[in-house]
Order: sequence, then C-alpha cells, then structure tokens
Amino acid sequence: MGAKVERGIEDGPGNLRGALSRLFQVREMGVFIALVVLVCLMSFASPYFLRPLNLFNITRGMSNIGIMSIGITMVIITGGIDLSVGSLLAVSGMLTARLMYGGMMPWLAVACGLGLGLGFGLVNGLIITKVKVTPFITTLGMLSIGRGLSYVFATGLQGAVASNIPMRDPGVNFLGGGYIGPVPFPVVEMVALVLAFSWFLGNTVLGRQIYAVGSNEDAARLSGVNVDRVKIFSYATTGILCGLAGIMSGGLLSTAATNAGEGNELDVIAAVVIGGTSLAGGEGSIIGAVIGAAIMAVIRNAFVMLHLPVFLQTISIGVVIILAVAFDSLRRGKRR
Amino acid sequence: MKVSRLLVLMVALVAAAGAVWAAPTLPPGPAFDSVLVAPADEGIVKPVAKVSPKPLRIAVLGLENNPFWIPVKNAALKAAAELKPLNCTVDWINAGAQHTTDVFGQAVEAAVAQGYDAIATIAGDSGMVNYINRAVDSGIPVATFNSETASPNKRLFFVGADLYLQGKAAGETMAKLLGNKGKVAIITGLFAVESHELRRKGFEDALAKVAPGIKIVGRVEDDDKGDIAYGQAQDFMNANPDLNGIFVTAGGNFGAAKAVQEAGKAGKVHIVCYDFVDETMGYVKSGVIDGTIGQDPVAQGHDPAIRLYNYLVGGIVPPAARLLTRSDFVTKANMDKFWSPSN
Repeated sequence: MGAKVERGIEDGPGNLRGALSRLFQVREMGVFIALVVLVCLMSFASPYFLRPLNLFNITRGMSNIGIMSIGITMVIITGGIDLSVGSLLAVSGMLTARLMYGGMMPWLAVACGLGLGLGFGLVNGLIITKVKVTPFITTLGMLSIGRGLSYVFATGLQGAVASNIPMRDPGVNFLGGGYIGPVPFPVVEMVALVLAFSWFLGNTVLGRQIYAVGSNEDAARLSGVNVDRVKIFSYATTGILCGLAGIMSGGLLSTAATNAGEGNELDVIAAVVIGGTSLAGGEGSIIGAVIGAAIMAVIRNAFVMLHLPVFLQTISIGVVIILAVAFDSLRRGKRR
Repeated sequence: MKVSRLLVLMVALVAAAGAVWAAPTLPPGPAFDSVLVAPADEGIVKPVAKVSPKPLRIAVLGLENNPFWIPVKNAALKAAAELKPLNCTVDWINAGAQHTTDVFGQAVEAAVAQGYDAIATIAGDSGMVNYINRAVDSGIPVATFNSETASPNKRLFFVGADLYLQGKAAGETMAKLLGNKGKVAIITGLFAVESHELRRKGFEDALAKVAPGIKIVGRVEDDDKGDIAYGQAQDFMNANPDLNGIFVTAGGNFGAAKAVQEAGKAGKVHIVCYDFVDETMGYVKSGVIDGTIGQDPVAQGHDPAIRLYNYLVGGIVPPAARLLTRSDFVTKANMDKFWSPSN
C-alpha cells in the first residue's frame, strides 16, 4: 500500500507491458513470489505441507511476530527502530496474568496489559522525540527494563522465585489459543489488524505522514507535519500491539512465562526487512513484513517436514535476509 | 643471654598467636572423580551435633529465573533454619539472571570479598574453574550444585544430576513405552547449552543401543519456550502422522503436551521430559505426559550448605566428590510423592 503511495507520481498510463513491469516493481511482489515458490516446492516435497491443518499451524505460529511487525514497520518507516518489542510482549502478558491471578476482572486485566504496552510505547516515543535519545539506545534500554519488570510482576521485588503465572480465563485465553472452526483465532486477529493498518497507512493523513517523516524529516517538518506526534504514534502503536501479542502468547498455553518473547525483536526486524522495508526509513509496507514473517515460518516448518538438519535452518534464515535485501537493492538500482 | 631470651619470648608469642589465629586444619576432600549415586542421606543429611565455636557464614549462590528453582531455594532456606541454632548463617543469594560464568564468577568473587566461610555455587561451564580455584586457594571451601564444569577444579564436592545419565534414563524409558520401535521427535532447549546437549546425547545413545529400531525424525530447539514447543510438536505430528513419541530435554515441555492433547493423540504420542514445574505436572496428572524425570531439586538446595558445615565444624569429608541425585521417574501414579502445586 505504502509502496503505491510513494510511486504514484512516476507511473504513467500503462499498456499491458507497462502494467506487468509495474506489478513487478511493486516492492512486495518479489518477496511474494519467493513465498509462492517456497510453498510450491514444499508442497511437492512433503505430502503433508498443504494440508489445512499444517497451513493453519504455520500461520498461527507466525501470528505474534506478524502482529508486532505491523508496529515495527511503521517505526522503521519513520526512520526509527524498536528493540524492546519482545520485552514489551512479556511485561504486558505478565501484568495481565498477575492481575487476573490476583482476582481482577479478566477483561479489565487485559485492558491494563494493553495499557501497559501502550504506556511503554509512549515512553519510548517521548524519550526519542523530546529527550532526543536515539531510538536504538532508548529501546535497547527499554528491552532490559521491560524484561526486568516482567520478573518483578512474576515474583515481586523480594521473595519467591520467578515463576510462570497461570492464566485461567477461557475468554482471555481464546485470544491466543482459540479456534473458530479450524481457523486459529490469532490468525483472524493478525489478518484483521494487517488489513486495518495497511489501509490506515495508505489512506489517512497520519498514515501518509509516517512515510513523509521517514523520507525527509526536515521537509516534513517544514511542510507542517508534527514530526514528534507521528513518531510517538508509531512507538505507542507498536507498544499496544506488543501488549496484545503478550496476552495472546500467555493465552495460548494458559500461562504467562517470564521468558516469553525473548529474542523476538530480531525475528520481527528480520520479517520487516525481508518484506522490503528499508532501515533507512521512508519506504516499506505492512503486507511485505507479514510476507517476510511467513517466509521465515515456512522455512522453519520445512525443516521439520523434510527431516532436515536443524542447524541449516538458522543458516538459511540468515541467507534469506541478505538475499531479500540484495535483490531489493538490485531492483532499485535498475530503476534508477 | 638477653638476646636469646628475647628470641624465645618472641617465638612463644608467635606460636601463641598462631594457635589463636590459625584455622583448624581441614582434612583433604574426596578425589575429584569419585562418584556416589543417590547417597542414603540425600536431601535429608543432618548437621553434626556441634555448635560452631565462632559464627559461620555460608553463601549459596543460586538462580531464580524459572520455576525449577522454587524447591531449590526453599530447600536452601530449610538448611538455613537447621544451621541457625548451630551458630551458622546460610544466605541464599540470587546470583543474577543467567547460568553464565560472568554472572557466577562475579558472585563467587563477591562472596569471597564479603568474607563468607564457605560457598556453594552453580557452576555451569568451564569458565568457573578459575573462580572456584581462587576461592579455595584463599582458604574458602567451595561446593557446586545443579551443574558443574567438565574440567577438574578444586571444589570439595558436587550435588546434582549427571545429565548424560538423565538423558540415557529418558531414552530407555521411551524405548520401553514404544516397545522398541516407532518414530520419535526431539525438542531440545538450546543446542548451545551443554546440559541440554548432554541429555540429548544420552537419550540418542540409549536409543541406539537399546532400540535401534526407533527412528529419530527430527531435532529442534524451542529456546525453553512453551509456545515454540507447541508449534514444533504440531509440525512433527503433521509431518509424521505415525509419530510415537516426543522427548523434550528442557523447558517448554507443556507446550508440546498441549499440542498432543489438542490433536487427540494423548497416549499415542508418548512424552518424556524433565522436572516438576506446575504446568508440566498438570499434564502428568492428566496422563498426556507419560513421565517426567526429576533431579531432586531439594537435595541440590539443601545438602551443599549442610555438608559444608559438617566439613568446617566436624571435619567430615563427604562420602564422594560427585553426589549424584536420584533420577526419579515421576508418573501419574507416583506424582503425589514428589510434587505439590506451588500456585
């Protein structure tokens, strides 16, 4: 969506060839084709791959990363980065579980968990814009603070050993572990959020301002965009989405774990980058990020399906990250 | 004349001072490699009936980063209560967030600096050797628990599981559950963690020896996380509809259990795993997890402090240097003996 916005000017009225070449210039197309090829290969290689059950498992498995990548895509488009997502996931989920465990009304606890995610995101945004600490440092700090605080919520400052906190409300757990027919509910949430935020980025003033800030902050400011507000919005949205992912992650297994989301920041950033979002800011799309997350999820699934040595899985994901960005940069070189 | 008398006086003075200041000489410890599996007094070793003439302080350096440590810590506190009337304080110290040498090396140094009379510490990897040796060289006996370095060090004794043997026990159990044939998947915590790898190797070696007919269909790591193990177990079952077993070496086993239960395959896909975390025990109770192998966390938390006290005050040398804890196989049938819910 965002890609269309940024290229709207250069496209003339097209014939068929022009339309085709334009289609291939859409930045998501490359990764989408890669995903399709991967899926085709897999469906030949394993008779079980294309079964709905397996496809739903894959999409459920990527739903947390997918939901968080919506926020990070916006942050990265503004030229920022957010390393704190995994910790925000943990701390929001843990607070929700702790409050429910202490007897709070379940949905009120969920609201508090989401609120905490939002609060952390707001603090990230405020420190970055008002105190001018770089996003990398701010969110690196927040990565530690969030993780530490999730231990505090799990155990209290003194006292017991960090333990997972059970989540026993079936309604809340449905968010992470429910099924509508054969479809895992987390997949429904992910798809709904991806569509909503894609529309938002492409079709609202604030959405377009996110691109404007990332491609040229000074120009955006001079043309009247409230740059700080745009950035704070991106981090805050990321925060609340992490909060949701945290509650989902706890709901899946009916327990909030202190190590939930550890290392997720790298997976989320990888998904966004594979999906064609530039770390330099100004361009990228949510759909791309989700396709990126899907590619990683299919690769992980493939190694189990095909009985391949698992060490190669880690290597192959690294190769995919570099290939994706390399192709993207070649494609852009051609265009110029 | 005068000079020689002065000399005698000085020698006498020094000798007297020495008698007052020098610590009583302690007997040498057992040989580094000597092994005793499941000592009779494991977990219940009693302190010698002798009050320490001077106040003693023992540091127990542990972790609190996951529920496994709950019974360990409680047992250390129990040892503290037992030694309190004997003029000895035991401090349970949460060394930090992780198993690593940076964390535990510093914790040992800090305990030495604070003048503890003895130290019990987790010793996750070989980097700990120097820290332990330095403490012992400065006259402070050190015991290790839960995990210890592969390379020799000067620790007095170790209380914990032999992880390779634990892996073997799991392999033999799995072979029995499967009747020596079928397909098994392995979900390990992290390939980078030595203790997880020892269990995995023990498991695979046991299968190769006892039941070469069992095929291992894959090995993945779940980062000790239940949600990852959940997805992996689903993948394994989809890829191998005739899967018979899942072996989980470390954390997150309850995620695999949930996947098996949801797939309606409880009893068809056997699960063998480790430790007595609440979530795990819930699935043991419902029979989804066939059994979980313990490592007597109570002995790991309790015995080091007591044996250190007995060594310092009673000169009692532990019966062996490697006091290997029991590998209880805990099932639905016997679980009440080993576990009560902490939440």
